[in-house]
Amino acid sequence: MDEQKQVTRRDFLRQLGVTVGAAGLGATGIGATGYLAAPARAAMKPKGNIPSTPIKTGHITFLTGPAELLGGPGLRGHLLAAEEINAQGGILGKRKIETIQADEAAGTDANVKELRRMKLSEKIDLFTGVISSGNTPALGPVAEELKVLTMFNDGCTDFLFDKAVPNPKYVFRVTNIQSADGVTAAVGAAQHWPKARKIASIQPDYSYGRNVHEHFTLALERLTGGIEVVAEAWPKLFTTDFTPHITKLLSAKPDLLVVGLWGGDYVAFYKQALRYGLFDKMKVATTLAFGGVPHAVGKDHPEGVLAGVHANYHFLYPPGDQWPVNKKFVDTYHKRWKEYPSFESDGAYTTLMMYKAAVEKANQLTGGWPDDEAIIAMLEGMGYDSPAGYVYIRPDNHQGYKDAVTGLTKNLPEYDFPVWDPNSIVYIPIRSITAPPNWPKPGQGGNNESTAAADWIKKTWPKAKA
Amino acid sequence: MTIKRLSGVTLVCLGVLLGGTSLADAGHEVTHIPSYYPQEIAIESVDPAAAATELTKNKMQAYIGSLPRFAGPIPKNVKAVESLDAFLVLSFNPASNVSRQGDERCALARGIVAALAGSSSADVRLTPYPVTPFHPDYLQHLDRIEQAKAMVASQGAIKQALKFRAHGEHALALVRPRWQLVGKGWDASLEEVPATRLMSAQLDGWLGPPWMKQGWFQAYRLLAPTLSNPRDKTATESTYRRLVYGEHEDLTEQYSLERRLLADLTRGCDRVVIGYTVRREYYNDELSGVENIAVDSQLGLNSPVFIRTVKLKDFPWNGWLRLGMNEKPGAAWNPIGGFSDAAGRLIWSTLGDPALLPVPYNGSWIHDRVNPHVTLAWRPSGGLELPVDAVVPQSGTGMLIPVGEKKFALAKIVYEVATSRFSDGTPTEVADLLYPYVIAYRWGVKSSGDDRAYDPVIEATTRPMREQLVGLKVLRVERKIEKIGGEIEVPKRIPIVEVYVNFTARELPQVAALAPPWSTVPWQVLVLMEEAVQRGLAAFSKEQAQRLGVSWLDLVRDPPLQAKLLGLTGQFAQSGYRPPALRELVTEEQARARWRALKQFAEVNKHFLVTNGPYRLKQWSDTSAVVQVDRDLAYPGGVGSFNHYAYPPRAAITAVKRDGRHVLIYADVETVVQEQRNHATVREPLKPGALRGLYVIRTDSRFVVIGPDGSVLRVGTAKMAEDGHLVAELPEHLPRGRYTFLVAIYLDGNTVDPSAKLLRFEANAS
Repeated sequence: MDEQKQVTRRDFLRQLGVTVGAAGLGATGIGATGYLAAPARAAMKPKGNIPSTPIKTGHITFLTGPAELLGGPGLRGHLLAAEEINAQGGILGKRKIETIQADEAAGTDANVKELRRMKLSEKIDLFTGVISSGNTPALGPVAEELKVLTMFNDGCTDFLFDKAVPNPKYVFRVTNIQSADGVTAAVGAAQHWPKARKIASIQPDYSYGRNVHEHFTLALERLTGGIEVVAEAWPKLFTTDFTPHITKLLSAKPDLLVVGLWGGDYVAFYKQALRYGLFDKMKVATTLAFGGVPHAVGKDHPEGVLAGVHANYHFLYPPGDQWPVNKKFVDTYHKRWKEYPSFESDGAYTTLMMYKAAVEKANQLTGGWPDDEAIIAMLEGMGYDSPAGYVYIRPDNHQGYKDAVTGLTKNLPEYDFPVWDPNSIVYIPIRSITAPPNWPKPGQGGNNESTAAADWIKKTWPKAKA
Repeated sequence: MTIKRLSGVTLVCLGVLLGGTSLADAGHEVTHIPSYYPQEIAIESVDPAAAATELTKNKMQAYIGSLPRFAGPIPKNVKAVESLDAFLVLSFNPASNVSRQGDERCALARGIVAALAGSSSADVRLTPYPVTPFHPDYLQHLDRIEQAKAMVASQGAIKQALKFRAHGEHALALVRPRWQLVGKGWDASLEEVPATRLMSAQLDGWLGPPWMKQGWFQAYRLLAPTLSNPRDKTATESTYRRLVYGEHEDLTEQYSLERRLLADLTRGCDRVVIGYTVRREYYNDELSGVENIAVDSQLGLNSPVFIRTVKLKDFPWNGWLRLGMNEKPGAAWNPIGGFSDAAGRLIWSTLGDPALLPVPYNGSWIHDRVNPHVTLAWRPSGGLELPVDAVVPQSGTGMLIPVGEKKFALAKIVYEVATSRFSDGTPTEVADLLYPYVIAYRWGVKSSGDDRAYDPVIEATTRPMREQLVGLKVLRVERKIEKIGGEIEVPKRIPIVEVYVNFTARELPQVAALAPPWSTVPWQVLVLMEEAVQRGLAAFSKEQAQRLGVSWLDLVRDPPLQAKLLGLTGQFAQSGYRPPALRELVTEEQARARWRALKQFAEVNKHFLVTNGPYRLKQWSDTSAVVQVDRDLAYPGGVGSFNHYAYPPRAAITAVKRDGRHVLIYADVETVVQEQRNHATVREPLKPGALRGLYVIRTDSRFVVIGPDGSVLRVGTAKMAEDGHLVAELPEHLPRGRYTFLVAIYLDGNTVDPSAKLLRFEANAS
């Protein structure tokens, strides 16, 4: 990549299609081929005989433990979708959705057993859920073996379709991939703080932290050029005292700090960092500050921090006046569950709605209740206008892509928790930050990087002038 | 620019192995966070006036055990939880001539309660019966409670002038306006007896006998010692024994025995429970306060389950929790006969870990460090035969000796023990699990004239276990690797221990709670304490310390003792000392390593309180203790493990109707719904599939049919119809007479203050 041409940062971001603030959505296109399934569109009359037996959905997600912060909203999104569908008589007006739920916290082996049980004993028609990136690579191959139509709404590791299930037939995933996290934070940082050159990084000392560090620094180097990593802090798993790391970061005097900490670790970090005035001394970009339920972070959180949402969804974006689908979703979700949706809520809700859309489309083509082959054919290449915006399922890898977003924190009086400053939201077409179809997987075709995205960025992104 | 690339890392200090997976294998979500929500807990003595201010300002999140003194109305951001506090117990002076005979005493007691009519309040509930709505066995006494109330009402208030003695704030408040308070020459005494005093004491990782929260047990502890009628005494002991050994065929017989025990205990009115007080504990509920609070029905917030659930609203996990108490930590800090006051119990709840902990809203137990598999014998078979190589601790020495041939027990429990490392870095091993048995049999039995080799508190605490333990056998130690989030590998060692006891119960966790193989303190600390006691340096319990004129053994706050203990530790590290009972289990070299680890720990931390619980002692003073979370990956419990025990649902019975052979019960369900950082109670009709959050609620509608003679005829469970009403089936062919039907609905096992109802009906001969 070293021989690639150089461009200005502004030109580069324009080429990527990055927009900021309310102009974002208006500037977007679907971004891919494929038909659009619109939930607001009037329902088409079902063709043929539709059985009235319920659709059995198996949904494994975290119902206990720390990851309930993700799994709970996910299940609520799933159940809301099921309730809305059932209120209309079910899919194709006949088949109501029944959900069999299980706790993902039981562990990978138990999850695999549960999937087998759900398919073989409960005869599920559809398998959904799954949060952990440790579980999707284990469950994906089993789902293929069992031939059970599977739509993960998270478990975002690139590894799932890069290596574990490289040629999926039955397995799909709706949520953006993990490498988008670091790249999205880099694009957001380049947009808001183009002059930041001295970079510090604090990351959890496990693979996610290394993924963020790698993709953030790689992308930012291309976007702004001439960056220098002046400090790295790798707090061990379950660190509660971040002060040694904070003092180390402060002493390096960086312009910008990138943070991949999550949940209670991030909150403990920012509260300790506040005592040291860290946020006054450097810009801060995070991948997951808003990665849980919106009310998880308090209003003492500093304003002006780039607050990541796992490169996925925040309930205030797309704004209601521009994207009624989101307004309707947020309103109904809040009414049903007395809280605002998270990216997991959106992911699980959209998953079930996309399945419904695929069944309806297949029914129009085949009549009667379509078989899995027909539903899969409809899902491949499907575009869907979800609460988060357009979601597109690439036919080659069954991965869902939606445009990535991030924004700067602000305390608005109407919320008990910090949200995004509407004028700061950075909107990134997903095709601009993820490897295109058929890009070589890691270990193949000269790709020696950890992800297809990293290899693609290294080989194809121009380098902005410093 | 250099991008740092790290391959798989081994976190040796955490005992964690990371697999050889690629960089992109795992997501951000960490699926298990060991230990519980707060990263630090400060427990401080704060006076009630200061507590009110600090609670209101959220400088303190909860005030444990007593009431803050608010200057004005209670602020809206401060809320309370309730639990059983104390029994109001009336007794009469045998030297006084106001009341000599049982009937007279009973009449006098009823008259006194009648005179107090109108004094009931939210905090003081005058109900002349020893079983309360905070007891899991409340339902089966409901008719007796109604009867006792009716007798009081019919008798009327006494007019007699009485001289009273009173103990306790509420007791004094009841007596003072009506009767003369005297120091000597009293006729009647009213005292508050805390329920916690009746629940037995904790020892290491045992919290008390399995039945410690039952009303019948507490009534026995409260009333049996003062019974004066020999027949009542004999009958009481016989019934009590049947209950603690589980000698009953079914619930009908069990409930009959419980009612019989209460009848024998209350007949003579030697002591009379005239009511109970409610403990009200306050916490800050504002947006940055606390939530996810599990409240024990009898221990309140001073319970292991509170520490294991409480969460700061500002933190998904982590954060700094500050708890206040009125009392200073006065009891010595040792896990055998210490930590016995309120502050000590709370501190020990953080540092230690029980094998099982009480379900906060009923009488059962939650698995904490053991996963038990219980097999009950069919009684007529004579029991389950023990393997000949099973062992039992020898009374007086604690030596583990073979049980011998042809030994039988009523229950076998196979425990999988969840081990982790102690705070001195040593792993929990079989020797650690067995040593509490040695302590119980060595120090709980007075076998010689040597007072130093015995402790009455250990005797009392371990009596149920010693009386009913038949033997035990260590089967094996299993090893496995557990994966967290697909990336982190955690090696686990799981000792499998078989324990035989003469105790059966329908609630199998109760059987498992009698004598679990578990210690939350390493054997070397227990041995060090024994050696200190044997050398006359200190005593385990306050009682024995006072008797012997030595200090109460404190592993933390007694510097002269610390110095001596450090010296002993050094000696033992050199000699590789092992007590006789452990010679088969621990080699000299292993013992040396253990003592060295303890010595090093004590030198660094300036105390000897090594545990394998969720928190470590970080700082302390005469008025406070600060503990810090220990997020050891091998620790089995984690953030959220006990969330199910917070905010249990509750049923509210709206109607009970008889319809021929059936009784129809209609009810609503009350659940607590989280609304972002707030919680609201929602009431709706009970229906099949009713949800509590994302879970379907378990409904247990328990009913009892009482015959005209007061005997229990049937205990059953009502079935739910499609529309949600419940149907109880009465026994067939009821002889003519007046019957009583009692019913309560327990949702997700919640028996606290149930919406229990009583229906009386006539049966015509059929």
